[in-house]
Amino acid sequence: MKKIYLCGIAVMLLGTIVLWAERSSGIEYELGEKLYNDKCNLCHGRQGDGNGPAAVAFSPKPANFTDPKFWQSIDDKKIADTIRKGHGMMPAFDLSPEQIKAITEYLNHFKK
Amino acid sequence: MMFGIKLIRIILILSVMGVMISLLSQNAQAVPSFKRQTGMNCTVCHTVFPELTPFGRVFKLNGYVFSKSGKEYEYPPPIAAMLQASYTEQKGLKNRIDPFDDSQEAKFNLPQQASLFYAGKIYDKLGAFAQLTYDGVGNTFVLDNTDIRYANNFLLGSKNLTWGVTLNNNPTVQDAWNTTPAFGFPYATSAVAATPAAVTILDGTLAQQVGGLGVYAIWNTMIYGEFAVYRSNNKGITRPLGAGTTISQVVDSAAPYWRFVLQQHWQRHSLSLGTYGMVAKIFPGGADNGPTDKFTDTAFDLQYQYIGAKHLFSVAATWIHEKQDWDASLPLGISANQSDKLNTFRINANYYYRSAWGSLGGNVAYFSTTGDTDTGLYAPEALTGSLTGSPDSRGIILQANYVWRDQYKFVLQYTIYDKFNGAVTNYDGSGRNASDNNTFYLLAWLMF
Repeated sequence: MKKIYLCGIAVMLLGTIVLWAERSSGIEYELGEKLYNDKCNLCHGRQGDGNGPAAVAFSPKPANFTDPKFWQSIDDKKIADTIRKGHGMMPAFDLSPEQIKAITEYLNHFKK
Repeated sequence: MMFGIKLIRIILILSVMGVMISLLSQNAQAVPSFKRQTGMNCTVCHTVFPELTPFGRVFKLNGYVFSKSGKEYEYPPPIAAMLQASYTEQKGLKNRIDPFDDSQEAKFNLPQQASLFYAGKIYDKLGAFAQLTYDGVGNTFVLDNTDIRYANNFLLGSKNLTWGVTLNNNPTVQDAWNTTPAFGFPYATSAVAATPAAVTILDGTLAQQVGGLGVYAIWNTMIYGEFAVYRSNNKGITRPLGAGTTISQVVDSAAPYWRFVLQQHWQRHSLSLGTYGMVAKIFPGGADNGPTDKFTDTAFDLQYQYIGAKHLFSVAATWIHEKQDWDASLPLGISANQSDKLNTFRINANYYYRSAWGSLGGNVAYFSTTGDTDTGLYAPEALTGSLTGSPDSRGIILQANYVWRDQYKFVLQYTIYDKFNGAVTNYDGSGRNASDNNTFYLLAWLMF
């Protein structure tokens, strides 16, 4: 009987941890999505394909995050640096480290 | 009394200069507020201000809210300033060297206009372009062009659809193409020179006289549609949108406005073709009740832009057809006809060479107004009237521009009238010829 209680408590603890971790991850994803839509969508597009509504204004076109080639030469640190310092026509964004991390992680979901 | 007015003006100019200097002293913020907010150069949004690039159009249609900041609001607030100082040469103007002359005939206008802007994000997806202007000729403060908008976007058929709501006080001020009257060429003209009498209601007649709420959407950066409804600013909820303006054109109930545009981009080229229009019932003579006159405006416009690294070229054209039904003015003897037609056509070609020293370029424009002869509307009167009763005017504008640091524009403009208020010679019945209204205009247009 004691074992059953212990197992029950362990399952509940584990469940709580999993739910907490998922929620944290979900909050971060939501923050990343919102920031992406506010800061990146105009040029890179909601689908991350570099075809945002303002993409027509640029030559070369904004980066395509769904292109595997893009990910061959870049990592999260480089993305964070680009957000911080700007690149070409892209301005340097004045974002907190948490916000940059959230965007960087959100960009990873475009990987194919 | 005169000394008092001059003193007020001097204090006012010093105050505006103080604001400008304080904006200049903010180092990286020594720029108009959009540049400060986005962290992008003026040339991303403008070829040469106020002409918008494709990115500038997207920025505007997305509610002026794109920002490099991670905050939901802008701090410091997106405030900018503008100063226009000008000199006009036209027959009849007085050659006074007093730059503080209040007269409507003074050649020097310092300032012609001085403005403060709230231009940028308000909160999250809500932004504004709001202009508070001191009119140096009329010696008045007014809420000038104002466009407050909320915008959002989503995917429709895997393509972006941006939609928004705009609250503004000038039909076409919300428009993103530089073909429509509010932000069309010529972007600035003399405030004291005589100009043709006949103007359609869409061509600035209702600026600040009305306030309107509109909804719009643009799909795939290609198809744009907008519908708005305007009401008079003389009373009620839109009254603040006409702050400082004497309401002389009172619109009965609501006036619908529409706009559709098709545009396409090919690398550095873009082309747009559009239509816009409005129907308004207006009480004659500034009255706010009784019978009304009906104005139905239908317009078409076209814009081509080439934006190279150093060479920029654009053409913009619009044609406005107005049907005027004088149900109220005819019985009052204001008009001589039951109905009239009025057509306005404008086309301008612009070229700029962009270098490290600034942008140097010019504009060539042709304008024409034609319409039915109406001896009631266009009666003989010295300078502004018409001997023939015809509203016909036409001419060309030649303009040279130098823009330094994207913010300081120096304009040399020459307007040549071939016909003015219906005639080439003695158009007003007082011996004045169309060519007497040829206007030489120098302007310093400074943004801070």
